[in-house]
Amino acid sequence: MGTQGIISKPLVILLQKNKIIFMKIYKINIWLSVVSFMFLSARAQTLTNLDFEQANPVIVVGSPYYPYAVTVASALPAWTVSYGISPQTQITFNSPALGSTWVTLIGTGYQGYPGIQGPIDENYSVLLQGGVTASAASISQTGLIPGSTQSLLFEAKPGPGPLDISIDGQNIPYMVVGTGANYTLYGADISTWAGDTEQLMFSALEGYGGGNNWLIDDISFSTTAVAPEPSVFALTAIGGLLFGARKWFVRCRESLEHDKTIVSPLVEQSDR
Amino acid sequence: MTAISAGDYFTLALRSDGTLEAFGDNSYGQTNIPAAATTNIVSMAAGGGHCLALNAAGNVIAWGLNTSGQTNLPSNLNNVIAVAAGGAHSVALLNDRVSLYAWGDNSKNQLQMPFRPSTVTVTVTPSTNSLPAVTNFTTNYQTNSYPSIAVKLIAAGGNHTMAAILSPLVQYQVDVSKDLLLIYNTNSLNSSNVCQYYLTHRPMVSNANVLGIDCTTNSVIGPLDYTNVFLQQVNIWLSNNPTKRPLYVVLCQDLPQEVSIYTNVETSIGDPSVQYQLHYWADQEWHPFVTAINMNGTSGTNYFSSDGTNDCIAYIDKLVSMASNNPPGTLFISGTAAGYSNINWYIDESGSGENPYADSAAHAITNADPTATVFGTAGTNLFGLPNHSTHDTNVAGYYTCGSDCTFDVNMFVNTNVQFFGYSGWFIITTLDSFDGQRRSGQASFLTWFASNSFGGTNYSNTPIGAATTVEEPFSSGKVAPDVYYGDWAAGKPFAIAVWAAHAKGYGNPGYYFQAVGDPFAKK
Repeated sequence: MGTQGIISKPLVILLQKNKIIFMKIYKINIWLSVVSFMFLSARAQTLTNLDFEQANPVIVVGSPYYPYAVTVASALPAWTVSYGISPQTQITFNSPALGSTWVTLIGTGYQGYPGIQGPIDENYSVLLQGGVTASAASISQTGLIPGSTQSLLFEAKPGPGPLDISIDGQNIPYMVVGTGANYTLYGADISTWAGDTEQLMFSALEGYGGGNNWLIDDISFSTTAVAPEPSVFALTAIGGLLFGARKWFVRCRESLEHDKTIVSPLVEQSDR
Repeated sequence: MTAISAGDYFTLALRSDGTLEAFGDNSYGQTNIPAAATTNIVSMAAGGGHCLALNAAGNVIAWGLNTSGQTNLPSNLNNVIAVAAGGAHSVALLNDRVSLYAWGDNSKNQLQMPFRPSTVTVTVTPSTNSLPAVTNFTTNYQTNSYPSIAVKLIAAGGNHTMAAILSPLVQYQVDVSKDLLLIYNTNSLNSSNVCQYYLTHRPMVSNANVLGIDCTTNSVIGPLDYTNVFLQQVNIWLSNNPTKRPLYVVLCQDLPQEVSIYTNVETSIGDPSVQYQLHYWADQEWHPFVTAINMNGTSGTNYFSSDGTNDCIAYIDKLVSMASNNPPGTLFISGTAAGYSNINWYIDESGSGENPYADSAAHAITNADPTATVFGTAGTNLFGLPNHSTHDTNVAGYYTCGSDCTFDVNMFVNTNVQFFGYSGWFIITTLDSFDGQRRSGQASFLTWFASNSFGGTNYSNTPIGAATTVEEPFSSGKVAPDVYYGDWAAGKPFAIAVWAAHAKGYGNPGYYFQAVGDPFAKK
């Protein structure tokens, strides 16, 4: 004889309902825990290796690009490399392309490519090359943009063509905010994404005779809003003032000439 | 007669029909030509009292005085490419160019080679003669690191033997009937026309070997077609001509340029050039200097001329014209020998410190030719890249980073770059990766050889030689400009200067390398 014989049928149904409710609560708890964990994990996953100094390039023997081929994982930890939409597993170390879409890790002391004399800062920089015929060269990384971020900053030796910067797939405008001895400092307002976990991508676009080469380094987030570097701002202001002054001068002259055209017949008449 | 050789009191002569004539002292039967040596003879040598003959099959026939075993041929002696006869000893070089056989009198150690590259194998017979300890070359006897060590020439005196090691620093006498192979595409009338025009107009090459290959006219050939169609026909020719391993190969227009082995669609990286494949891999021991007379692309990919052969014909005409001012009978056509006054070298980036290769090129030129004037650009343009040399006079050599440094891709035909004075006999390379492609890309070599290139008219300013790449070589895989320009300034023929530069390179294997121009043109 089992217990079912002792417990009444309504009680059994009640127990079964409670069990279902309990299971639902249990499942919700687990779900909440997972979500919380994921949330916490996401919060913990900050963007890293923004100065590219975590590189420890491992040469890929047997690669068509040997002995300059290195794995992306070793050369650019935390970053993904893509040509167009095609992810790559190898890049080169200290051997830029001469017209192809390509990404190269540039190390200390490198020379041999026009305009590139070693990294911008410390031991490593990254060279993004938009090729002559193929698609853009991109590096990207997904992570947390710090909560109080107002702007994104990065140092670069610019190429002749565009460098696209996108967050969450949305291109963001950027401007020159300063200059260093061997680089230009750029800044972009990214306050919209502060506290969000997003994909950050840098892309050197194709074309430009295969020479759209951007050497970038020291990406950082700032709690200060971007503003054009003083010299740029000052030049813009002076330019604006000069433009305004010129317009004022031209207007005055036109006014005078207009007056002359009215007066002159009288003068002529008086001369006569 | 195509060759004569004098022994002790007798003479051997070789007719162009492959038959021998012997006359003079016959004390040891040395003028009694054996039946095996009456036809198909391609080379011979007369010794003290014996004779050697080499037939077209690569076999040696020996007769005459045999006091020291000088006519006792080593067993399995075949694939011979050259013979030499001493007083009482004999020497043979196999067509791998690294195997030497020596037999006969060894009383003065004439069968022994005290110095030799490690790749050269010396076999001495009779076996009673033992080789001494061999001392390999330990010093860098060639300043340019051409990797393929081979024996070019052998000679035997009364009691001694000599072997000349192939080196890009040495200019050998060239017998085009053995040393030059022209290849054309049987599926292209333009290709055969260019080949025929070269043979009949370019001085001193009419006896060159010619091979027609039945293959695609596309600039890119598949790996199977390359191996089973293109290369197979080359190998058949080599097999049929065991006594010939031409050091110079010229690919005429409309032959494929690249072998599509690795092509990455996204990056267009990885295809080796046909020239690279032929130079390194056609045969284990045959590493010819390959160049091309292919200044114009096939119909449909022909950008700058209405006819596929115009640019090639004009190029050959330029050779003919310069040769007319060289001494008669000159294979190596020289601008300097013709009194051509191009003395200025324009090397972009030299002196800027940004490209050490350009800097070293400038130094190499002045080291090789102290009278040379080298102009380098300095400073940077709007994009931080070196300025370009764009309006130059009496150009002897030109090096630029090209469209890779924000130049327009049509820079050489749209008057952005203009040359003046004596600027029709110079060598060129650029830092553009696809400058050797017949199809679109960066500034193609087709623009370098166009009638209006470099601001000229009627081909007045076209180069005489060009180093190009058919794919992405990376900055580490281009030719070394210091060797390229330095060797040319030193008077080396184009083929040697450009291949020595390729061999040094910047460190990469240089799968993509392609030389365009006459192999025997000189500064």
